[in-house]
Amino acid sequence: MQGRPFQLQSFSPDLLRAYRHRILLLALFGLWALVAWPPLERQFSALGQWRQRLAGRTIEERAAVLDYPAYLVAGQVRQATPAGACLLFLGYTGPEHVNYYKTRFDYYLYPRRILVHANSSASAEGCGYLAVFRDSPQNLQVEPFAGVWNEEQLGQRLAGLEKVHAGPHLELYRLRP
Amino acid sequence: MIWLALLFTCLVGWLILRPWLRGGPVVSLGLGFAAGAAALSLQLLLYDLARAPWNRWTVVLPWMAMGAACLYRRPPQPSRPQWERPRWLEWPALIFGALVLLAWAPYERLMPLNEWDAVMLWMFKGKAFYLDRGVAPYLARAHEFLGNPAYPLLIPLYTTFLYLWLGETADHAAKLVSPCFFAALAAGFYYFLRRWGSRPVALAFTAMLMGLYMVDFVAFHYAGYADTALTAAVLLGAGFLYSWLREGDYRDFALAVLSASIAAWTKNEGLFFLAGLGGFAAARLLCQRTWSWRYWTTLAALPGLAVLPWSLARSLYGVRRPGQLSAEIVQTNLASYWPTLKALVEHAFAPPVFQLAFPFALLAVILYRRAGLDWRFLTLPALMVWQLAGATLVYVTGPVNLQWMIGSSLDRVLSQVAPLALLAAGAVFTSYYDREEKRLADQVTARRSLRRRR
Repeated sequence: MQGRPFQLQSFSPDLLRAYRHRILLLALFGLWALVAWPPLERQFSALGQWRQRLAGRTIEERAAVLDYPAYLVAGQVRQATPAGACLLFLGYTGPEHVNYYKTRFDYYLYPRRILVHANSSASAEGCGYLAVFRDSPQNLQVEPFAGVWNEEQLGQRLAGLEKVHAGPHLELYRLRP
Repeated sequence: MIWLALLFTCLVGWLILRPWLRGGPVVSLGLGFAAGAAALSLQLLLYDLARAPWNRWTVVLPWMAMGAACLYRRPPQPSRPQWERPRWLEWPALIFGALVLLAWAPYERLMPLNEWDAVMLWMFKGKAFYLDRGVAPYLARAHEFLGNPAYPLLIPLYTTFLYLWLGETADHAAKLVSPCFFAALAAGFYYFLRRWGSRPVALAFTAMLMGLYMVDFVAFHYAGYADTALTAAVLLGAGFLYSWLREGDYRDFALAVLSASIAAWTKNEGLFFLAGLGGFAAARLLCQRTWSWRYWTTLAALPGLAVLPWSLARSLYGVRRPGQLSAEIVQTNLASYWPTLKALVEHAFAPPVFQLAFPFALLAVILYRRAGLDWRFLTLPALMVWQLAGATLVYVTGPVNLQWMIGSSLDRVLSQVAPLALLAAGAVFTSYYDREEKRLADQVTARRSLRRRR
């Protein structure tokens, strides 16, 4: 035993002292793993849930699920308008979502010029298209509309315009030929 | 195709770093990616300023020519990579690291680009630059958009490069840039600890880094942001600076300055890091009375390359920061300075978010002398504190409400220095560990010779 003190034949204080740095490394790592495990476990669970929801879909379909209805609406606008168009969105959406949709439409529709207002009588000089955008009921439930909206006036405003697209969340009109 | 673009990026980085690099393929790939992304993005900006056209070939051909010249002048020497099987002490780290990747990598590939800053800012600019084939049209319209047009352009222009390579705006592919910088971060982290000490410690601490929740979250959930790139650049800068202080090798000095310059070309916070690291390096050179032209040229040229072209472009295209900084906002924010620091400390010491990175760093600062390190070690925690001080300064003097800034970015700001905190802890622990290993080896040798004599 005296000649071979570092083989794991039996535990002794000397043995522990000799290997204390390795034990300490394992202990530190174990402590770290213990603290890191709950968030990692949550991440595994989140991965499982998202897999159930998104697996088997194309990347476009996944974007449409995650960014509903902005991604779908942007796709419809892109098909109906030229790249240099200017679009005024009259958005029936919550106050915080105005910025949200502005950034989404900017991203998806660049280089088109995008303006978003939660006001049915908003106007923009030089914009060739008017888009009436209605947010999904789920989003409105989370953040209710707090802008200015008059359906009757809006109906009158849109009456003479050429409708380019109509869907559940979007009505698109051409303002100038 | 995206993999080819990423590989090409590593090769570009390798071509640039060739004179300074030492170490195995892991660090070469990791550092190469960071340097390559910085070089390619800067190349696009310089082309834009010179009115040269952007397309796949105009970007790629100069590098191919450089690569060919390099191969012609000095063909690669056949090298036999040394591979040593993992020891029992290293298996837990390897398994834990693999688990972390299994939790996060498929998640990043599953999710489309959706996070706020990526859509509003970083990837948006990349897409706009690609569609416009230049930076000017977007910058001319910057007032229309919510993002800050004055931010540095490494991530946007590197994304543009990927789109040029792919021939389309494939944002799901391009957001791989964040996991790639995470890989560069992990490679650099392992490289430093391995260089300063033994493999079990390097592997264990690298696995800890990989399990740092907020760093993972930023790299994989916020894929498409610039934070992971900045984190990698900050860690590499600090690590090479400390290596230079330890060994006095010019190559480490050059890589430290290069990494800090990459940080400055990535985010505004990186400018602060560059100022801190550059100031410290200059002070050290002066103290040592080092007048060698290559040190001072490196210290001037690399930061100049990272900062000047973008400053020129900003003034040329009339780019201004959005928001108005008023005395009232500064006064309100100054009053909130102590609560900001308190929030910073609370977040840093929250185990579910940053695990034990900051407590370990604190312990390291207390114990570094007992582990056999000298004052030079303090550069690591000092740079961390400097960087955090810079962030709080930005908070206080920024033109936006402090509470909103804290809520939206404090964890990300801390995630930029958390790996550095862990590196400091690793440096101290590996010094202690190696001393103990040496003692153990000496004891075994002494007992063996005793047995032989008997």
